[in-house]
Amino acid sequence: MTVFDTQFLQKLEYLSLLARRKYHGQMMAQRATRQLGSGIEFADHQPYSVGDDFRYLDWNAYARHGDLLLKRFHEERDLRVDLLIDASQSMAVGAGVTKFQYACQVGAALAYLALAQMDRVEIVTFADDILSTLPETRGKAQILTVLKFLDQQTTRGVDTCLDAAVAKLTRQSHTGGIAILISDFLDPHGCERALDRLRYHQFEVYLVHVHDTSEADPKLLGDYEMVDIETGATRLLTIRQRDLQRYRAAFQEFATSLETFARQHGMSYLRSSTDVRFDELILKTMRRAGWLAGG
Amino acid sequence: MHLGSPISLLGMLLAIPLVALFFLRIKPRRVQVATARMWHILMPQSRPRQWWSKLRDPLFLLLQLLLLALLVGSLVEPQYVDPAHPPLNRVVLLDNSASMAAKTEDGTVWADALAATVRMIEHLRPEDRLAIITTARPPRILQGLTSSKQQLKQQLSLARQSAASSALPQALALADKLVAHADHAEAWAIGDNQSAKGLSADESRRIQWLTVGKRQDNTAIEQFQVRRMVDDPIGFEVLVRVQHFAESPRDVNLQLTLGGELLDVVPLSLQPNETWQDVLTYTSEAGGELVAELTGGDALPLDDRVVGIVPPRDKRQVVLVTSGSYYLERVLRSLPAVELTVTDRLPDSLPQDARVIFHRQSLAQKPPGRSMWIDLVDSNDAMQLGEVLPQPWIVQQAESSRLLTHLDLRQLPVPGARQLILSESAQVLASADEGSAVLATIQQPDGELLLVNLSLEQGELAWRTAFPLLMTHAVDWLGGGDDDTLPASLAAGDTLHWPLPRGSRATDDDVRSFTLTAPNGETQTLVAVNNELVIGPFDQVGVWAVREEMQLRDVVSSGGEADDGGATPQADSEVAHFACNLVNATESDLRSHGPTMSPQHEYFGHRRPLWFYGILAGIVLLPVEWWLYQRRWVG
Repeated sequence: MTVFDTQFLQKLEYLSLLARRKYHGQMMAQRATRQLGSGIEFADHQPYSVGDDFRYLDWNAYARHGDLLLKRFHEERDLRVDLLIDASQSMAVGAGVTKFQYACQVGAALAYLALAQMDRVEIVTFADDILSTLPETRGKAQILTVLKFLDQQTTRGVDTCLDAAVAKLTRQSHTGGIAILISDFLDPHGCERALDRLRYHQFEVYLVHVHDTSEADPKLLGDYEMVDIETGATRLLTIRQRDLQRYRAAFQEFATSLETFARQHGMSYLRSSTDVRFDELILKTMRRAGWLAGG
Repeated sequence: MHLGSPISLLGMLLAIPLVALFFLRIKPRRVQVATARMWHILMPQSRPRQWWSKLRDPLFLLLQLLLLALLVGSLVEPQYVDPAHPPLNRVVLLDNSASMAAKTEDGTVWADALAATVRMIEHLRPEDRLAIITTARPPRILQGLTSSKQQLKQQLSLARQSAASSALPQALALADKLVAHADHAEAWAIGDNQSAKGLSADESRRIQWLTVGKRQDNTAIEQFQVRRMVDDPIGFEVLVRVQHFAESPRDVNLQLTLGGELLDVVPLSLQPNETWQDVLTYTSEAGGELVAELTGGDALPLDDRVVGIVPPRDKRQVVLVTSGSYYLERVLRSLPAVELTVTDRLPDSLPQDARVIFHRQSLAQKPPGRSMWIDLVDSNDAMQLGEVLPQPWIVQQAESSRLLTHLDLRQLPVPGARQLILSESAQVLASADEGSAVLATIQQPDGELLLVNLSLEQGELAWRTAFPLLMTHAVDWLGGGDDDTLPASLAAGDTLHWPLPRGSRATDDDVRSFTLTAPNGETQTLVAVNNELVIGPFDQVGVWAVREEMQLRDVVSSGGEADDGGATPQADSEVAHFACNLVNATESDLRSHGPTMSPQHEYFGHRRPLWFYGILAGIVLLPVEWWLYQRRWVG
């Protein structure tokens, strides 16, 4: 696993994952929640009752209206971030950096962001099922645990089934929070059901679509025996320029349809090739897309 | 070429990579993809289902091998011999004579003949052979029998139109020798074929004719001779004959220039078929190149301009050693361009190029070189002088000697002549009735002697007009005049056997080389054999020059070391000039043409066989097959 350099980590310090919605956190942290408590963000007033803390009386309102009112604030709690990384065999494709390695790098960077914000992070790798899970962890010091966990992961599994993995995740875990899904989304069963399931369980979903250059723009001409890396099924094809053009169009349509589905259902979508540096994806692309704030 | 040739074998070796590529191609490359679903949706698996589809790959291989075989076949030029049309051995008698220089609307007749020959070569079948003989005198084999069109065209490009006349019968004889052992031989004459009438009926039937050009009018200078006049030291005569080969009259000027200076213009009004002839006299001491030209131009420029050489007239030093002869002295003084010195004994030193004549002198004082002896008084090793002959007269004289040109001494009394017995090296020019020589030349180790065995005082010779002429020839002979064997004008196509002049002759162990320069500036080296040069054939009209290549041999440097041993060429010295003209009525008469052209289908033979077009189709089909099989070039 690539260790992040100091400069990159310093830049990450000033960034934070944006959540559009407010969630009920569990522990004190830096994210505003719907709960009212001892935060610094003003929420509303309530009439004073005997026994209330005088420190929260709004003396300005009393001077103006003659009513004793207490100021109430949003509670600042932490946020749960679930990183779902595709570890199916199809992610092992790639000339230099495989899609899985790239996904792990991006996942580690996002995990560091969340840990730095005192959020709780859970990492799940999946294929046809959940393959391994890093239990919920918190605090920036846990980044080494995250990196160690990701370093131990390999691609495996016979067939990608995102819905099965998500269903198991939602059964095992609570609901709500941010779910970041890093995958090539080459799911023979389709990924729409899984995404709906995440939405149903109050997750704010971020999709990172990773692909290799050879998938988007293959340079294959002539007779080939295609081997599906997940199923092992072979296929004899004679590929012409015309077929290549049709393939490129089909791949583009696949990516576009996924993006359209995500946008229509309030999900965020980003597509990146493995030849784009992952730090560039984090620092530039995701910031431009409004995934990150700060800096 | 045949299938066992290296090229064809190498070509067939191409089948190995073809088969190897076939097997490599039918084994598809294996590639792992993240998912094959997308490819499956786009392209159903191309596994053959019909039985004939399974044979598609071997069929393509067979097709490729067939195409390769066709290509190799085209390289080896396979020949198919049609029994109905056996291979021909054809000899082209290409007329490159002077008349082929006649102009046409778009060039010359020669260019038309060349084009016709090229067409014949191009339509030659692969199994046919063709040879080319040029018919201008002397006929030459330009290319022997061959089926290589490239070789034929290459040799044809070297063919040059000559200024000589045509020698079609000799060319036909040469063709007969060329195809003496060949079957199905035929001869084709390509040209204006004017010389066809010189053939016998049998010879004419053996030739197939391809006549080019057209009938045209022409005016030609048919004869041109120049010579110095005998009686005028600086005069010369020009014999000119102009012939008008036309059916309509024509006015033309005959313009003569000497050394580039205009000499005379003779206006001529020529009637149809008229021949004009005249002897024109002019004077010039320096001489030079005399050019006669018909102005106005006509169909054949080659015979409108002729050249001649007027030799320069130099002063001749003559030393007469005599005790006194009035007639002899007066005759010698009367000769043109002669400076006479009379003495009673041979001087110790003679002027350069002096001609020495002894009259009634002893042979003991004979100088080296040529000398003339009149009225002999004593004998030596080469001749024995006897008693005086009783009433002798000349009964016989040599016909070919230049010393007796225009002289007839027969029946001339020669009183005082003595019995003269000569050695075998002597040449008797005139002899008396007793068989004794009266006029003779005799070769001595240190020079030739001209002997005149008679008494000038007693006989009639000194009174006759023949005597000055004899002395004129003698003075020329003493100065090496017998070497002046140059013909006044040569006809194009002639070959000249020319004895070297005295100053250029070689000793026994010396080889003299000469340079012959043609009128167009081309040069060739000649080597004298037995002091004789063989020059020609003269295939261009104009002035030909012979120069001796001067060389320094065994040059030793000032340090005493020999140089690189090579001969260093020095400036060449001019030896002689020869004027060559087209003076041939047959070539100049452009109105006479050969037989009519033979039918074209017989001349052009057969076109390419069908398999040639099959190979051509194969070459076109090869990339098509490749495209069909690969299907990768689309887009």
